[in-house]
Amino acid sequence: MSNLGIPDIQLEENTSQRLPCVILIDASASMSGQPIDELNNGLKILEEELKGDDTASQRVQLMVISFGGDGEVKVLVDWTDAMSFSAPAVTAYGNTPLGGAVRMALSKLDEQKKRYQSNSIAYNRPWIFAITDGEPTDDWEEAAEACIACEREQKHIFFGVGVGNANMDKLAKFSERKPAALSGLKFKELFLWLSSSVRTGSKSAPGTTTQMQNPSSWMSVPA
Amino acid sequence: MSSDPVHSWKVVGASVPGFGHIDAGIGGQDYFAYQCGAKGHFVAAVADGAGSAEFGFEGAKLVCDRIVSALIAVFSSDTVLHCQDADIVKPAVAVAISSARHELEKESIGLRAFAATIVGVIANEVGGTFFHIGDGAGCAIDTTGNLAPVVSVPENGEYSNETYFFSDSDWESHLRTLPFSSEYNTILLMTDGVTPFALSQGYLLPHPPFFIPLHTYFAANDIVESERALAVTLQNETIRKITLDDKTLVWSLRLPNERPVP
Repeated sequence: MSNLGIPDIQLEENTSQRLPCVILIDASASMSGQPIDELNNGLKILEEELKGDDTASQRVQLMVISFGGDGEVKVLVDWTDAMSFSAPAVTAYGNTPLGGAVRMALSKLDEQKKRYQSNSIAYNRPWIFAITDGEPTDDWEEAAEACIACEREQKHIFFGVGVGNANMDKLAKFSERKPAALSGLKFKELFLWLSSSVRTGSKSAPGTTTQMQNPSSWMSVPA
Repeated sequence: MSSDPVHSWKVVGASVPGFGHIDAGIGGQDYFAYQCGAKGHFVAAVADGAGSAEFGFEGAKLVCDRIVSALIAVFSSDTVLHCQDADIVKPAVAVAISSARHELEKESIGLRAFAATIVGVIANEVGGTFFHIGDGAGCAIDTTGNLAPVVSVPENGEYSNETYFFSDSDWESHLRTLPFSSEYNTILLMTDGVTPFALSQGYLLPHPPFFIPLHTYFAANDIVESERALAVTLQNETIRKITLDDKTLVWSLRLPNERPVP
């Protein structure tokens, strides 16, 4: 039996669905030294892992925002397809304006969704991924309320990760999902998990839900 | 006895599991069914069982079979019913879906376990009507090129992995119909695994470089060869980058008079 398909047929290549993912990185003074070095290494792993996956490299779009300094919230990497993502080198100093960072993430996601809609690009529910080792030093409560309200309206999914002495109670105010505590400085494992999870998420077909990977490789569990 | 000739239909269909299911070593969850009635009616339905539903394939199969047999029975009765009249087709489809839901409710595991999208058609020589819940697409094509295609387009939620199913509590508000006239002699039905490479212009029209070779090949070859070639085409490795989903496509061509199907 022939294994030939229909001759001369050409496929349309509709733009793949996108999975927008914002990574918020605590670049305050307490992260300086080994923690920020490990985090930067983790970002490189994220870059390599996503680039190594044909589908995820086309579908995942990343934005990296750092918060630190003197109340500085900076877009380190603007919306970039994973295939073109280059891990930034984050430097740490100053305080922890987590509220401002979350506000910026919400605003950037709104803008990006409008861009998708005006270009008829299908997209999955965006992810916000916040890593912090301290407690917010700005007026974070309103941002937390806005964040949790948007999540209830299914506008995004928020993952909080606390490092070291992070104030987990305050981090928990940003989502109904309990924040996870990083075990030691397992940033490598954390970013491997993140890349694996967004790879899965970027491939979810209609009618499916995304099964998150098991975070046990990096998450510390209270005794 | 009517002096009108009874038209028959040449139908080619194939359903193949997506690369995601093949890689995981599990079967696909798409299904299709069709029948040609004695009065020249053609009824077909394709359904995509939801990946998140434990018995998505079973739901897809039951609802397709139920709709096809119900519509054939209704439109084969002595009463003259016009299948391009959406006000007749929609309630008939709704009754069939309600019947499928009622049967599945007896399973006591929740209708959600059987979630599936549906796109289908009933047509004869005077036209037809698409019926549709969720994503996938139906296209009616006038192969003389005089009329623009009629397309029942996918309906998704805000996010691309959200759509609507016959098992949803508000399924009736998502049951859409779209009639077309007798000039349209070719019909395509497809699940969402096919729409990304078979439709263009934002999923609004069939993609001519896909449709024309397919139509030419099916018109020139017998059904067995056409279905073989379609299945091979749908499993082409180049599709992997476009979609990992299951893929089902049904093509049908209305033939004049009682010409034997080649």
